[in-house]
Parts: sequence; structure tokens; C-alpha cells
Amino acid sequence: MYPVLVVDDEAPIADLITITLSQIGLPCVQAHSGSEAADLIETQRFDLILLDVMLPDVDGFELMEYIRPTGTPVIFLTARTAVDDRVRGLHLGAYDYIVKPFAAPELLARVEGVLRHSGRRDTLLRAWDVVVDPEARTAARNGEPVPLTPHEFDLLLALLHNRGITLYRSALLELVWGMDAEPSNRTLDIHMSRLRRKLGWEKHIRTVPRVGYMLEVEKTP
Amino acid sequence: MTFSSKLTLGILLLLCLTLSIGGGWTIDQNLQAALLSSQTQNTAFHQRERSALEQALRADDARSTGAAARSVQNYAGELQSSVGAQSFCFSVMDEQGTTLYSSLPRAVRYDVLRSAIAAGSQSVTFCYPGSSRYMVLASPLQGTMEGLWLVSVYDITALFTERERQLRQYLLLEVTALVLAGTAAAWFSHRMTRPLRALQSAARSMAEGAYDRRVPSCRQAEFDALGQDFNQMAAAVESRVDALQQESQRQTRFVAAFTHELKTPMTSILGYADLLRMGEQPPERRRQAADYIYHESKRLETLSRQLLQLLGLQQGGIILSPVAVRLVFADVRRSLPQDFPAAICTDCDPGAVVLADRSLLGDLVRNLVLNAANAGPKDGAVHLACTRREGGWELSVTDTGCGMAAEELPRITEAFYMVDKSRARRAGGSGLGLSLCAEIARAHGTALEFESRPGKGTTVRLLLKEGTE
Repeated sequence: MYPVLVVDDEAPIADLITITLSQIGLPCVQAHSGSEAADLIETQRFDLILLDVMLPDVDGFELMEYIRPTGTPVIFLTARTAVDDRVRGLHLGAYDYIVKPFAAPELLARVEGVLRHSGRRDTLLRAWDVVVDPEARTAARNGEPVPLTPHEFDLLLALLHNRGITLYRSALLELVWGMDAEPSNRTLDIHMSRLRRKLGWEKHIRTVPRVGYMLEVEKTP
Repeated sequence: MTFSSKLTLGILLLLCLTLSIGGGWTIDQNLQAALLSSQTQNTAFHQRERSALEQALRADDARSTGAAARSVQNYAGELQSSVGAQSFCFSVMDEQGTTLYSSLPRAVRYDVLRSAIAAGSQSVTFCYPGSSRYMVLASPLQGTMEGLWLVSVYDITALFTERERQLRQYLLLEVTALVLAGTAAAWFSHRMTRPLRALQSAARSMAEGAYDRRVPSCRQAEFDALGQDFNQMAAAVESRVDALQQESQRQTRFVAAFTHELKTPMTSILGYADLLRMGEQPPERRRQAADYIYHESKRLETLSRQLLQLLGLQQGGIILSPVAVRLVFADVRRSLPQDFPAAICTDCDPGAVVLADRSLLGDLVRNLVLNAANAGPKDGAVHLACTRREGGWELSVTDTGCGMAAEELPRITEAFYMVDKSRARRAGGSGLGLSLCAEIARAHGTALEFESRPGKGTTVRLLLKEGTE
């Protein structure tokens, strides 16, 4: 288990990626220039590299030369939408690319996908006696599969991706039901209580009155 | 039909016409001369024969038709036995057309003889039965009895055969001449139109995009001039196409850079805003997110302001009025932030007044000062100067910082071009500062002049027209 290398000359974006990936328990190392990244690649091992294309000194495409021998999977981050650029990145051996601006769930989904396919890491999410596979969209409790509806599964994923953070009702509604649907707070409450019952998490999913819900962080004994 | 084949055909036609008419006329003249000499000769023969016949008649004293016929027959018999063969073909007829004697070839018909008699002794009659040609001469026999005519027929086929031969010979000559002339004309016209074909192939390949094609020079003056003009046109087209391609490349670079400059702050703003609205983040993360959102928004705001200013400058003109340079320098000094890292050293002639837009000139100098400070001057200062030059005042901003390589200089005023991106970014640069300066200078009818050496520092000069207060 090695960390993820985030290469972006924009500190805010590198921080944003670090925060997002830390929510699913992926530690990150940042590099703010091509040469810094090249040094890190030579001295350390990584499970995944998120690589910005436009870097001040050595550009992302050139960095691929250093990365390819190590066999580390790469996802390109690019502000360029030109098809040529994307195709070039993929030809150079990148697994995937993410176009800026990106949303956190998209980043997480792509990172999980690449990690799983490259066999670097299992991307199962664990909490107490529950194991969740975000790609297969299945959950199991003590090895027993737990049948969940798609909405319930999305809720579970949102909670797992933001552990220890109180998620606002409005955000959860938008995340699970989409922008255009208009489900009531009541719908959310019903789904949440069913989820609690199915997983036996009556105590772990906390209701914060008038604000939202929070999945507790597991206390290490 | 091509020009060269038209030329060849024209030459051939003219030659053919001249040769045919000339040859035909010459041969005809030859025939006429031969006929004339043969007529003279035959007339002499005829006269001799007539007098011989008259003598014979007189000797026999033939006074009747029958006697005359006998006499003539005897004469002919003698003649035949002495000279042999049918060398003399003649006929004797009386006035009524009764033939007393005839040794004429069968082909000569009776009415021809009659018409020869009717024409009289002064004229010559020709007769052309089949492929033979005959000359018919007639004259009255005098002496013993009236009304007898001698008609002699001479074979002149040989003259016409000779003409045929001449014609054939001449035709052969003419055909040979035409073939030779045609070949020469075709070769010559092909050679002459070679520059045209070179021009054509060059024009075609240019139409297909090979703008570097040129035609070689040639010996014919007109074609050479045309070729030179064509080459000049091609050079003009090529340079224009090059300029357009460069412009289009510049545009592509601009759009790519602009997209990047726009999307980078947007990514942070959207990402952190999303983080904040998802749930209750820990206070430290909340503060960091808000901080990033604020600064990235500021960056977008600067970008849009500078871009609008740039577009405004490119579209509309500005109003120039006399401005004292020391006031502009003072404006710049005031506008710098409290914690500005470099000292400002001013060396300005207090009487220097230039024609300018005060606030735009202030922006220009301020941008240059910010750049100079970012270059990290070794003496910790940015030097502003204003010195008199011919035609106005020269403003200069000098630093002793990191400087730039010579190959960077042509591109530094290009929008979003950053020599050292990470350094520029830390200093809050958008990549539009120098574009804006260059545009302001252009609006003032002048241009920025850069002089830089890596590791030594940079000087930017600007020549402005003198104004009177």
C-alpha cells in the first residue's frame, strides 16, 4: 500500500484532490512542479499518479517517460478539452483522464476504478462489520450480502465518502436523487432509517437535528 | 488546341500554300514555253510539208479531185518508203470536207479536222482524245486547184508527260519540305512555349498548396518577365499564407492558454464550494476552503478585468493629453502595496511632459515595476528613469534581477505567455500584464523595447512624444 502522487502546480487544486482522496482513506503526496514529481517518482513508490498536463517546467506528457518504466498507473488531469490532447495522453499509457473542473464523486469513481483494475489496491470500503464494494455496488455484513436499493446504496456511499462530517440534507438529496427530482425530507428520513436497520447501524449513523446525517468515525481500540 | 500546335499548323499551312502556288505556276509556265517552241517547230514542219505536197501536185498537174487524191497518195507512198513509219501524220481535204487522203491516228476525230480548217491557217487547234495530246495545224494547198487543205497532226503527249513528271517530282519535294518544316516548327514552338508550361505546372502545384514553388528563368525576355512576376506573386502569397498560419497558431495558443487560465481557478472554486455545501467540515478545512475560493475568485476577477481592458484598447482609441512624467511616477508609487518587496528609485527630469493618457500610462509603468520586482533584483530596487531623446522623452524601468534569455523576448508580450510560470503564479500574475503594456504602448503610437541578459537584469524602454503643458 503506497500513497497517491498528486502532481499539480496549483496548490489549491492539489489540496482539493488530497482532501477528496483522504475521505476514502487514500494518503497523498504532492508535487508542484514536473522536476519535483520526477524526483519523487525516482525515490518513492506510488499506487497511482494524478498528473496535470500543463506544468511549468517538465510537462505532463514528458513526465510519462519517467513514469512508464515504474508501471505506476496514471490519470491525467487536464484543462484542455481538445480531443487530440486526451488521445495523446491515453496513447502515452495513461489509464484515464479527468477534465477540469471536476466534481469530487467523479474523481473518486475514476480513482477507485483505476486502482481496482490495476490491481494495486482493493477499493472496498469497510466500516465495522460492513464491507462495501463501490464498483459492484454491493454491501455485505459479516460476509452476508445485504440487499440495498440503488438510492440506499448511494446514500451509504455518500456517508462512507464523508465519514465524520455532517452531511446537509439538501446535499444528500441532490447527490442521491439528482438536481431535478424533488423528494421531500421525509423520503430521505425513510431511506435513512431503512439503511440503519439493514446494516444494524442504528447508533453509527447519527441524526443531527435540522442539519443532516453523519456516519461516525470508527474508534480504534 | 494548344498554342504550339496552332503555331505549327499555321506555319505549315502558309508554307504549303506558298509552295503549291509557286510550284504550280512554275510548272505551268514551263509547259506553256514548251508548247510555244513545239508549235514553232511544228509550224515549220507543216510549211515544209505543204510546199512539198504543192510541188507534188504541181508536178502531176492534178486539176480534179480524183487526180489530186492520186497525186497525194503517191506522195505519201514515196514519203513512207523513203522516211519510213508514220512519222508524218497528215490529211488532205477539200472545201466540202471530203477526205482525199488521211494517215491520221484514229483517235483524232473528223470534226476536229473540220474545226481546224474553219479556224484557218493562222491558228492552232488542240485535241485531247484519251490520254494522248495532239496539236492540229491546217493550211490551204495552192497551185493546181482551189479548195484543198492540208491538215497536219503532231503528237505532243510527251510535253504533258513531262509536265506530269515535273508535278510528281515537285510534289515529292514539297512533301519533304513540309515534313522537315513541320518538325522544325513543332520543335521550335514546343521549345518556345516551354516557359508557359513551367508556369502552368507551377500554378497548379501552388493551387494544390505548394506555395514554395517557383519557375526558373528562361532566355525569352517576355516569358522571363512573366516568370519573374509570377515568382513575385508566389512569394507574396507564400508570405501572406505564412503570416495567416502564424496568426492562427497564435490564436490557438491564446485559446488554449485562456481555457487553462479560466478553468484552473474555476476548478478550485467549484471544488471547495462543493466541499463546503456538502456538510459540516472541520473549522480549519472550512477556513482553508473559503480562503482558496476568495483568492481564486480574485484571480478570475483580475483576469476578466485585464482581458476587458485589452479588448477595449484594441477596439477604441484613447485621448492623449500633456502629462508630467513625475506625476505618473508618483501615481505608480502610491498604487503599490504597503508590503512591496523592492525600493523604487526615480531619476526623472522635473520638466518632462509627455503626450499620454495618465491612468493608462500609470498602469503600464506599474505593471513593469511589478514585473521588475518579481525578477528579484539583487540591489533590492527598481529604477525608474525619464531622459530626453530626440522627438520626446524616454521612460525606462530597470532591474538587476534574473533577466530573460534572448529567445524568450519575442514572445513575452503574447497573452498568457509566462517565462517562469510558477514564479509568475506565486506573484499573482495572470499572464496578461505585458500584453496589456504592449497594447497601451501601441495605443500611444509607440512600442516597448526590451533589453535583457539572463542573470544580469532587464531594462524596458518606452519613447513618448513630448507634450506642452
